[in-house]
Amino acid sequence: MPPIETLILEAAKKGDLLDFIDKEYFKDRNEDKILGKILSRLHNEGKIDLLGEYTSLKRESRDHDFFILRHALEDALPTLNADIQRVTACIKNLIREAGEDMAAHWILGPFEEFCSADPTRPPAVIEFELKSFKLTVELLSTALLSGSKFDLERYTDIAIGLFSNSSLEIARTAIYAVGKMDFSGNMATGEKAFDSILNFCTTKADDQLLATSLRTLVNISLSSSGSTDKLIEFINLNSINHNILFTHSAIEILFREKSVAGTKIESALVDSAKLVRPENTRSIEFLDYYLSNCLNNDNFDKVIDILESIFNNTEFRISIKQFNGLAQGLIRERHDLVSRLITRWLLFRSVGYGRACKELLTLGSDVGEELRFDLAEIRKEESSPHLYLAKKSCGWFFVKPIAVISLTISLIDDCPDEQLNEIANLIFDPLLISYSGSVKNYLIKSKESSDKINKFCNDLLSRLTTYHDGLKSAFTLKELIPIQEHLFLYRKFHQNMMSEIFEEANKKSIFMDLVHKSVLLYGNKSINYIYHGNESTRQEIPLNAISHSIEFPSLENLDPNGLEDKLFRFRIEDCER
Amino acid sequence: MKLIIKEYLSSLREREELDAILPDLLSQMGLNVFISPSRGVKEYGVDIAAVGKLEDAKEKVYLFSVKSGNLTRETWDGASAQSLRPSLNQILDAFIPSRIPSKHQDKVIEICLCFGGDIHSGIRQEVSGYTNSHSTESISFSEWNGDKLAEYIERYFLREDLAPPNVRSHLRKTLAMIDEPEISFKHFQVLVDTVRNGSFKRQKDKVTALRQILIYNWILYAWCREEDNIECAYLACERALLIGWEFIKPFIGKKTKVAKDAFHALDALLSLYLEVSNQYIGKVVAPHCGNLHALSAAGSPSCHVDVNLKLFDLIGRTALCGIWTYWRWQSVSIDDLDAKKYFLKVYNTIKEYIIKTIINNPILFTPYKDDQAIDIVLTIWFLSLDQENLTNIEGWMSRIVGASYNALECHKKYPANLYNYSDLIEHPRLSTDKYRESVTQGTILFPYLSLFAAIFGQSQIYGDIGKIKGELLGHSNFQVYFFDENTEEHLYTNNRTHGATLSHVSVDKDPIEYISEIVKECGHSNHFKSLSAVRCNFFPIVLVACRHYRLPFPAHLIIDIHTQLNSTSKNEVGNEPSNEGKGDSE
Repeated sequence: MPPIETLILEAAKKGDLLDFIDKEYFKDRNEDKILGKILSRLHNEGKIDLLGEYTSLKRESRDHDFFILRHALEDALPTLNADIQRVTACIKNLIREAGEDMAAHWILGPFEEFCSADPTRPPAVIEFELKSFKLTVELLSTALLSGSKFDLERYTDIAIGLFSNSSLEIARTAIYAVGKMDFSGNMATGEKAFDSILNFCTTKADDQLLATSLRTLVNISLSSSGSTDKLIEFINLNSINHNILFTHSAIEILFREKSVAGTKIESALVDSAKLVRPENTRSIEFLDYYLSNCLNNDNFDKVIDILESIFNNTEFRISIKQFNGLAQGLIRERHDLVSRLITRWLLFRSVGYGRACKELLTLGSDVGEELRFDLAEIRKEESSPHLYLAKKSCGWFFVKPIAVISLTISLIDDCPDEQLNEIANLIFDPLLISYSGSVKNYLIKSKESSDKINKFCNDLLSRLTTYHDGLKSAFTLKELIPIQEHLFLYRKFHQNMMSEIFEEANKKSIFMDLVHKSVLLYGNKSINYIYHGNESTRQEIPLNAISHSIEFPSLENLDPNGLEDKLFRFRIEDCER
Repeated sequence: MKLIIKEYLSSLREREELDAILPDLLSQMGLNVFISPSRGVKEYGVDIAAVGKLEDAKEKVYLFSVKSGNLTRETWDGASAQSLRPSLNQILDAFIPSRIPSKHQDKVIEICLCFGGDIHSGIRQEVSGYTNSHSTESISFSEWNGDKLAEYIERYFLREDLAPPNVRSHLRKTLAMIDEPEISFKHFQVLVDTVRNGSFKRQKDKVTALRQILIYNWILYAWCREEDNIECAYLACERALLIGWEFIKPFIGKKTKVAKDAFHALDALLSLYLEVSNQYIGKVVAPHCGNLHALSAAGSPSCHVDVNLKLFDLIGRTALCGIWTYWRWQSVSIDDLDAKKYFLKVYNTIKEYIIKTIINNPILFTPYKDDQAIDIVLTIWFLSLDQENLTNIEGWMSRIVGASYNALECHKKYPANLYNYSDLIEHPRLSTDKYRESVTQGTILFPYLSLFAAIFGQSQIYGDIGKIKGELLGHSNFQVYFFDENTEEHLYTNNRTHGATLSHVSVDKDPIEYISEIVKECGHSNHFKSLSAVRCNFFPIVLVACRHYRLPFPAHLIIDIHTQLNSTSKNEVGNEPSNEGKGDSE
């Protein structure tokens, strides 16, 4: 087999160089990546025009895989000797053709290596880009960063000089590049850059510029404690404008930059993060990561503070459900904190906080988790707080019967006698008679906790027995059996409804996208043959039934509107709308 | 057929059942009944006495002593005074010497031992011994057991010329499908319609038809009772009573024998209807209305629509039963204090049933169909007979109006003009104003509730209904229904649409103005008062028609309450229903 160089040259001669690279790349991939080096050498020797081929490469071409080809160039780029103008033109084309793809800018890494290989390259790129008709900011910032590795002071000054450029985009790129520079060995230069950025920002109100500046300033100040106060002042000053990108930047720093944890900078950033807007879903996602970290670090007070501030600032247009990571973490692992949170929030006597509690518990199991009200949260001046909390838990968490009953039982020992009867009534109707399976079992289980709870549970169980006796006595009344036609029509209606739900669920199912569906009309095993060339293996797969049951509240059948009205009253009673 | 009839006969009870059917049977057989159970207690051992010729063509006096079921040692000669042998002794010792009308004293007497089943073989000898030893030339004994009665019933009510094969077939199907009452009732309807539409050459034939309907009803009721499901019997009795009234209309004001026979048959139909109605309330409502949700959960409903439909129907039936009780209380002589007291007690009991039913079945606060107004108004009207109930009425109406407002506003299950079950279970199909508008084109519920609220001075409820109209049902025709000149002809048979509707009544104006509007229209559309049932003081029959054929409650009766409340001379006696004049429009 001829050497690969020969094959490359032959392909280049035929005009099939990219096709060859496309095919060869995979063979080379698991070895030493020699293809890139060979391509680079042949280009440097003038035997092939690698840059020319890539400068005209189009993504939509069906003949080869665009990103595979790009990878080959990325391997070649660090060792390439070429004219800056041709290299930047080629890189710009590859970035432009990659479009919105997440990998679009991966080529900047090899480009930075290319610039760092020769001190003449960064100034050349900078000069070329600044003169360019269409600036590519990524190349400019990469060049500044590469240059700073040769001469930090010089390139910091170049960057500072660019602040005054008439193009805000160039100034922003320069600030971004400064943020990436390493000032740890030269703090004076860092502080100079810090002050220049601060001064510059006082004259501009551009959100994107401020957001970039924030990242850069935080990066610098992390290695220079002297600038912390100025940074905090900057954060506070700009937070009040509720700028979307600035807030996002603050949140991103909180999430990514672990070293701000516990500092004054973190507090300032948190204050900024609290101003996140409902439409900024990406920012909320980052904030969710940050809050999850706080939870893992046992910093729950901070979590509560941030959530409450966000709810108040947005009038609950941001839901607890959007902090899915945090909420799941709480529901799955920290029932103690959930208990504390919902006690606190319900006692705010606000419909919004009640709804937030409900949304939090919605993420848990079907019947709800076993929880306890945190009685330490009850203030002395609260009026009938036990009854109030019992009503709220029943109203908001009705579909999670175990959560309601466990929360209510946790109130009993501490509950004044005059509120007990009313609590028993609301537990009996609607909760106990609706969920006479799970709630009854919980009452039986809880009986031994204390004498007071024992009496409370026994009274309820006795009432339930009487209630069921009443139902049983009328159960066989033939006169009240719905007519056959209605029974048939309802069954049909229910079946259609379930089929529609099933179809909808199937449409959304990732699993169903991965598998092929076959319907077996008979039997309970599936026979399959797996072919390996000329041989085959026979397989019998037994079928298993998968089922899931939920306890449907019986009052939904007996008095749905009444039930809904009752729960609605429980929710809004004594609350601000 | 004979087995079916025998089965029915064996299940009948003595008083007011077996002896209630016999007089009609004997009359149909050509005998002249001169003592019947309706007169009251047994006369010296005789339940029924008749005179005339049977197959042997010799005129005799027939004296019947009636027992239910099989004749056993206990019912023949047990400790009870109601045993047959002591009754026969009384006939021989007291009745025959002193109670036979003088014009029949020269006739041969046949004492009939009548029972629905058979004689137990163990006492056959004793019965034969007794009858042989007491038989004389002028006194003989005969056994009218289930077989014989069944044979007579078949011969006189179900013979080919009276009951053609399709009638017999529908009777059999009615009985076979008792556990599916809606199907059973459909067959019964065809059965009754066939009898009703027969050719009546003579007036007497109409009486025969009426007796036929009665006997079919009895057979159905007896079978229903055996099956422990009287739903079909209830509906059948309602229909039979209405058709019965249609039959006797030509006899009103006449005093001929045929007219008397017709009224007697109607009386028997009414008694049966009241018996079934009371039995229904006693079996279904009374034992369970005090238990939370017991009636709602009864019968294993598929969904809340089933519960809703059943409960409003139930409350309407209970109220109607109460209205009949009120009618009976009103009908008995003022001197008959015991009867007055009894019916007052029953009235109060039914009132309690209704209140408990509503409290313990909260779905009664949320009507899903506009025509459930019929049942609601029946109930409110019944409760309003005693002004002490006004607080309860206000509470119920207020909950209905409040819940309806919420449901309409939030597009939940609100009262709609939907009559089809499929539509109801899907209702509301859409949570849009457009859909809501399409299913609430007209309403009788709110105008009637509004009228009550105006009359009772419940300004909050009246205002809330005005709000519903103003905010949510501005497009809907708020209407009140009145009978017209065709109503009398079609009300009892429902063979054609009749009546007139006053549209866009002013529930949003001042209550007094609204009442005046309805009072004024009652004056113009005054056909209610000329209905035969109302003229004859049988106004509850009109309400049975309204409930059965789903027609709105007569506005005149509601206006009567207004008149009564405004009247200075009120007949309030303690805890008695206070509106003695209600329903008594003439």
